[in-house]
Amino acid sequence: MKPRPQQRILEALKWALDDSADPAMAAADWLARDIDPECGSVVGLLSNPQTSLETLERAKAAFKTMRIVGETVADRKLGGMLYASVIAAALVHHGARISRQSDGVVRRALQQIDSEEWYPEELRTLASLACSYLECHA
Amino acid sequence: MIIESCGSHTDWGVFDHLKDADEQQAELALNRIVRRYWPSVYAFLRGSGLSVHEAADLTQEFVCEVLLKKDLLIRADPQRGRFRSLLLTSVRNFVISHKRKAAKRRTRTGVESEELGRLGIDSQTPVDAFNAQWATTIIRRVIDRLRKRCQFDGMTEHWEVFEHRVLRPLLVGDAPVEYAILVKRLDLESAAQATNMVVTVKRLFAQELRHEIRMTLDDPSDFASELAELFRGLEGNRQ
Repeated sequence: MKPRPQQRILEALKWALDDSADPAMAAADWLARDIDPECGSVVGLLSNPQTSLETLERAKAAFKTMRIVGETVADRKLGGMLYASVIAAALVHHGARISRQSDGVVRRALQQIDSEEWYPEELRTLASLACSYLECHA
Repeated sequence: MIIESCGSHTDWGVFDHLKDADEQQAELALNRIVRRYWPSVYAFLRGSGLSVHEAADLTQEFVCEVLLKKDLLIRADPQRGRFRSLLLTSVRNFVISHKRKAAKRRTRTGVESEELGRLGIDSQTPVDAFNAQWATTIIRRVIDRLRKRCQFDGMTEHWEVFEHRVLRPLLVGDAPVEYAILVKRLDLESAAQATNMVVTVKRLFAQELRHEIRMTLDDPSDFASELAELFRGLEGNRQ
């Protein structure tokens, strides 16, 4: 059953109270829950091997939006990193390429993620695994 | 000084930005403000029945079009003194225009044109979604500003007491943490000290909330009704 509007708002605000979550990550979690109400967070959405390719395609569209229209440079950077993380999730969980960008470009974006220590560890691991996948399937 | 300490000394009134004689400054300010509330635009589009892909594309298109043609906002309703209303009207008009163009294209290709109402643009659902996300954005920004303000001003214990006694119970339904536990955890003198901390931060929260809302109003006397709208948005649908 679709969550009532009040419940969705409260869930969004709950993340705003999390010390480790900045407003941009809270917005990312809200986008993720809009795509899949059961996922809990963007980390939950992307690290779950059961997340379908169709869902990942929707996530790619949503985070591309954040990358383009985010308020601050930091917001747009996070959008870009999440966009790359969606591509990584498709590679790792499904062996599928859902980006038309070259493997070289994707690999560089994923390597950059790995160096960002503030980024959720699960997504950094995902990026690392995706890099390995690309190297093995070059 | 407090606002500067939070790094937002450029956040002056939206309408001041729109009326700014310096075109470059006006563009920069409008750029930032429209981008700040993009989740509300996205929520409106999703509430209208559009798919994630469609809503994502149109959100990008709307923001870019507003930024390129900044008079879009002024044209929407120059007499209404609330930025929220201006933005809502703008996105609504944008969607109607988009659907008309799409319907014309489909008619030219021989496919039956769709009724504009199919997506429920005129229903209350997308408006509620817009307002709910607007309210969430406001509250989220206030919480973030206040937390940083408390950290900057050496009031981290104040923030923790306020969070566990007021904010979490109010917003997410957590049970308030007992004062005795907070006194012990934070090495406070007494429950009375903790209570005073709550009062102090409540006052600061109210200040930040007033600041955040007033930035979006042309007429300060609209504050009370705008605040009422904000809480209606947080309460969800009106049924």
